[in-house]
Amino acid sequence: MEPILEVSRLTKTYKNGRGISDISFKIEKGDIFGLLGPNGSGKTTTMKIITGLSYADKGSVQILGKDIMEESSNEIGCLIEAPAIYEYLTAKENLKLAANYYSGIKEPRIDDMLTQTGLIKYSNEKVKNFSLGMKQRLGLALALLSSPKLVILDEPTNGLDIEGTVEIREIIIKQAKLGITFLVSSHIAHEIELMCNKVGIMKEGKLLSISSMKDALSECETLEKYFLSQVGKKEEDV
Amino acid sequence: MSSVKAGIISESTKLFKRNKYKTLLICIELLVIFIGMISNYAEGYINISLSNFPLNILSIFTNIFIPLIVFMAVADLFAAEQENGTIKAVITRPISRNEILISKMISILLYVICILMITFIISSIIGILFGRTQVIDIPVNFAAYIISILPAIPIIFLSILISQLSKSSTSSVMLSVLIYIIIMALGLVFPSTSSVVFTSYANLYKFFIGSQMPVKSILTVIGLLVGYSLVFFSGAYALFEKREY
Repeated sequence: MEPILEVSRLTKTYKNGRGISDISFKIEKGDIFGLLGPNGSGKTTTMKIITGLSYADKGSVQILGKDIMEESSNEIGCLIEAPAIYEYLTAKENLKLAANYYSGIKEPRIDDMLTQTGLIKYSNEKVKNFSLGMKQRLGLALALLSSPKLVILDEPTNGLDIEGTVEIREIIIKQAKLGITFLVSSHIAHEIELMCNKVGIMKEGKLLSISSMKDALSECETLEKYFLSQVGKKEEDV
Repeated sequence: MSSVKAGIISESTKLFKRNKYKTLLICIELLVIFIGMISNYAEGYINISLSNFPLNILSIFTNIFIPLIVFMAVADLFAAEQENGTIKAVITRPISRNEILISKMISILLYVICILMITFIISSIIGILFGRTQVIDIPVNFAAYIISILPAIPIIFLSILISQLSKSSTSSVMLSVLIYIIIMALGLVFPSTSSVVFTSYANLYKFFIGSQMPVKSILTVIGLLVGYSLVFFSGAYALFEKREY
């Protein structure tokens, strides 16, 4: 099966010496691939390079076989760090603005996304009045709007309460069942465990291991223990 | 091309939907009416001649209001979006960075055109109502307003270039104003340089008014404005292209 996303030997070093080194992984159709690692481990940097927000020093990113360094892809939807939304516009206007960049996205699709993310009641309200959870759901609606093949979500449940976290997780799982592939990052092992079918462990800019969730859990019972075992193994190697 | 069109629709929506720009438009037009009324009733104290009110108002616009409006709009569409991260909403869409830059620039120009056209209508009405010494030549005045769009282009590109060097929208506006004043002052302090400074041609429409049109001078000035625009665009694009978010 052709991978949806193929990241090869991605390397980027910031001026402060931090960054990512030699990151390689593949994601296949229908996967929910989780990048698990502490803050500063390079998850966001990796995602920013994949989405074109940042540039790599070395390495390549291919989406459906096309190099994103050469042409911008319309097969990606993303939510990187905080949702990029215009607070002076309504939820619907934000979605309409994004829809302008794609042919064929009409009003029913916008309403559908607002319904799926539970925002239809607030579609004509200005975003500045939204709670953090509502903004995060709107960010997710924006990422899913164009029916992309790959959706990249950086810490999608960050700062949300329990209910908000469950809602976001349920939306992601539902969309994955409809065939959308996800790359999700988090520093919370439990989040990744409940959401993803594959996991990559990151620390200090390196991808330590990649495993299916099934194998990781059969090896260590919980993802948290698996993470600690992988990090410990690496430290022993060093 | 369709990406640029989509970009222009999105960026224009952002500008025109903001209360700030709607209020600005209303305030500016009220000011035009106010100046017209004051000039009519307090002639001698206020030095805005009503003999050809639309053109006199145009001079104020091209030298003061248009640059200020441009600096504000550029700060909001570039520096502020870079500062608060909303630029990611555009960068991650299927549109290249040069198309983003061009669509933002055209949207700002559309807003400027909108202000100029409304000002033309209002100032013409005031001119007709209160004008004293001559019949207002509406087609000539309209042409003057259209021509005045040209000198705004290098100003927009200069401001975009400055916004790429600024860390916040406030510093983008402040720096743009400061640099604009310095460039203007340069032409005044060293008159020999004024012919090559683009700010000297804010009243470009004056070349077109009169019995004889200095075609050679017009072409030279247009060439100069195009040259400045290209230089500022290249600088702004180089910085915008390599910027990371």
